Amino acid sequence: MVVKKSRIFAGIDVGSLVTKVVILKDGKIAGYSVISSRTNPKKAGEQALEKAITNANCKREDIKCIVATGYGRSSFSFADKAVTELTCHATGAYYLNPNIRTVIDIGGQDSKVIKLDQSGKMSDFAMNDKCAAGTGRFLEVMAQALEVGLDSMGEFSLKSNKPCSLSSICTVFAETEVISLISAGANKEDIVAGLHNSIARRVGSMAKGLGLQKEIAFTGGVAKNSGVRSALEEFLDINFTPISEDPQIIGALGASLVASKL
Amino acid sequence: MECVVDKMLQEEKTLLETPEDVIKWTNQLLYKRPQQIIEEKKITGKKLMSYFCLFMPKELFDAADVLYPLVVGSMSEKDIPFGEQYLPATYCPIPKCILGLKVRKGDILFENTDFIVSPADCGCKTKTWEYLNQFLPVHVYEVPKKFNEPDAAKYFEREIGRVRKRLEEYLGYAISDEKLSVSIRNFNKLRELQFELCGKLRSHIPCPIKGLDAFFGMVSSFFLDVKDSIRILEILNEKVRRRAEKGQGYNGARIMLTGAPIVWPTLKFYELVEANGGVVVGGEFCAESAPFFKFEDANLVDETGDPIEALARKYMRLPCAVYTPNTERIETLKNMVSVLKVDGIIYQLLEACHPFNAEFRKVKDAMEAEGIPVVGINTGFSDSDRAQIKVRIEGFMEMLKARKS
Repeated sequence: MVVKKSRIFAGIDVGSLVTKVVILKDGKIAGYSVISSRTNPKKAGEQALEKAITNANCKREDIKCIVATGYGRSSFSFADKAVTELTCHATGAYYLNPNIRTVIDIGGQDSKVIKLDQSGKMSDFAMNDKCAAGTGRFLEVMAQALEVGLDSMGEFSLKSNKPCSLSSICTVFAETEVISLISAGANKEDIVAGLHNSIARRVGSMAKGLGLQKEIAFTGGVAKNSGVRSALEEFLDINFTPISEDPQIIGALGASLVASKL
Repeated sequence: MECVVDKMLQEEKTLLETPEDVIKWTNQLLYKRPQQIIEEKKITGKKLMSYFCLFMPKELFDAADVLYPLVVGSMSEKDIPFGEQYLPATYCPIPKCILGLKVRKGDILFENTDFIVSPADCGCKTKTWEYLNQFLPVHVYEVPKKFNEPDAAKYFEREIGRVRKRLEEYLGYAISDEKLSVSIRNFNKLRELQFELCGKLRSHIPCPIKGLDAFFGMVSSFFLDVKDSIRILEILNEKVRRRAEKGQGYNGARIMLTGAPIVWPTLKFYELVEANGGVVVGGEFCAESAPFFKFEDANLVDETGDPIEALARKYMRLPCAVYTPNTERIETLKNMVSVLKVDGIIYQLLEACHPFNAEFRKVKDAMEAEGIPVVGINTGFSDSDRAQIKVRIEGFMEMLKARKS
């Protein structure tokens, strides 16, 4: 009997807000999915996996190995291994561009800065402390307070000429400050720009503390926000190196690459 | 004084074979200990005195023939709201728990404590004693933060002399130099055993004892008098030594913990390292190796000269972040890394523990210059951040593993 050697791997990244799956076939992304995590990481992971399998046009039984990452990484009995999102973001970014030496990732509940060596191995990292300041969750709360769509915040803030100054780094107090600014008649554009600056200061200081080395990639869901991106570039006086894929799937991509090496 | 440890072991006919057995038994003993101490207090009429820092020369308590367990063994998150009745929310959780435990009347030993002696070390603790003094007498003494100044030693010696005088006044009898010398010799014996464990046995590859067990072995002396502490360590070291001689023990990335004091609510650091393929081979903070200033030897108290002068000379030099400039702490850490063959350092950043948190950058830079990776992890006394700490520790372990491959 001839057994057809399968070269398909999957990476599942169950974040606090969004679950991502990447299917890797012969070393290339064959398909991926992005869905809301809601309150059941296990169910979200399974749904996202099914969806990615459909998008990649393959079968579940063809998948040779699955690696799970993200805060829900330990929820899957069918995953072959759980690996942290630190290793996965480093692996994913380096795969897309081997000149990357620093990854700044802002996800739903964590922000992190990862340093890579020449061979793509993680050599140092720093993560936010346990509060939500400087994370996707912070932006989500603020978008609700301002009644602005989360996806349009980036564009919105780029229209601002004089960003508001927000002193609080705490999500709860920052929300109070935002409400005060609204009642004082400040432009929403300026408030959103101010919020983006506050994230850039928070995450940017952490990155400077660790030491930035070029080239620098920006990953995670918040990397899709052009306002945060340009605020960080300005604060750090750098330009991010564009990456060729959706920045939100880099963790899942890294997980699938780890799976391919198991 | 009768040795509680031997008496209990004989009565129970317990056979202790491994280091794990010894620690399990010791923890059971520590659980029973508060009730035993209360009974001893009732029968003998001895005073119960306590302290909240390694800066306290316990030799003085021992020589004064009082009971001297640490009274915050049950420090936990639930004490914090009680502490916050007096102290700000944005305050270090350690003094909040100490005061909160008293306010809540949550600890039988604390409720039976007659007298507290504590140093004015960090700002948060120092201000807390002013409130604690409303509940029971607290004697506070100064610790010179620039201990290399020429007159610092003399000043500290006078402070320790005043501690002795205050105890004598309170007790109504003198603490003799002879008794102090005996206590000094006993504590030196304990220190030698503790250094054998932390400075010698744990340097073996594989490490013959888990970090958490070594931690419990070290902290047992906080709750026992010196003779019982010596017995525990003699028994423990014998088992650990035997395992080391056979070349047995725990493999995996060799981690050292440092930063803000690790106490019960943050033992999660040990648990998560050791659940993820690592072994904690050393700890540079009060409950572990801080008594061995510079980590070169057991850092004994001089047994020949004036006892107060000798005590002062030892106790003013700890690798605590309250000192400035604290270059000795860096030297201590470097020495520990080399003796214990450390692969990586995890630095506890405890909320509002400003002196230790502020030294993080200095420690990270100095250790990385030696090729040792350091990760700082923020935490508090709540267990709700376990998942977040887990990802940081697992990530760090993955990084160490990738470096080795």
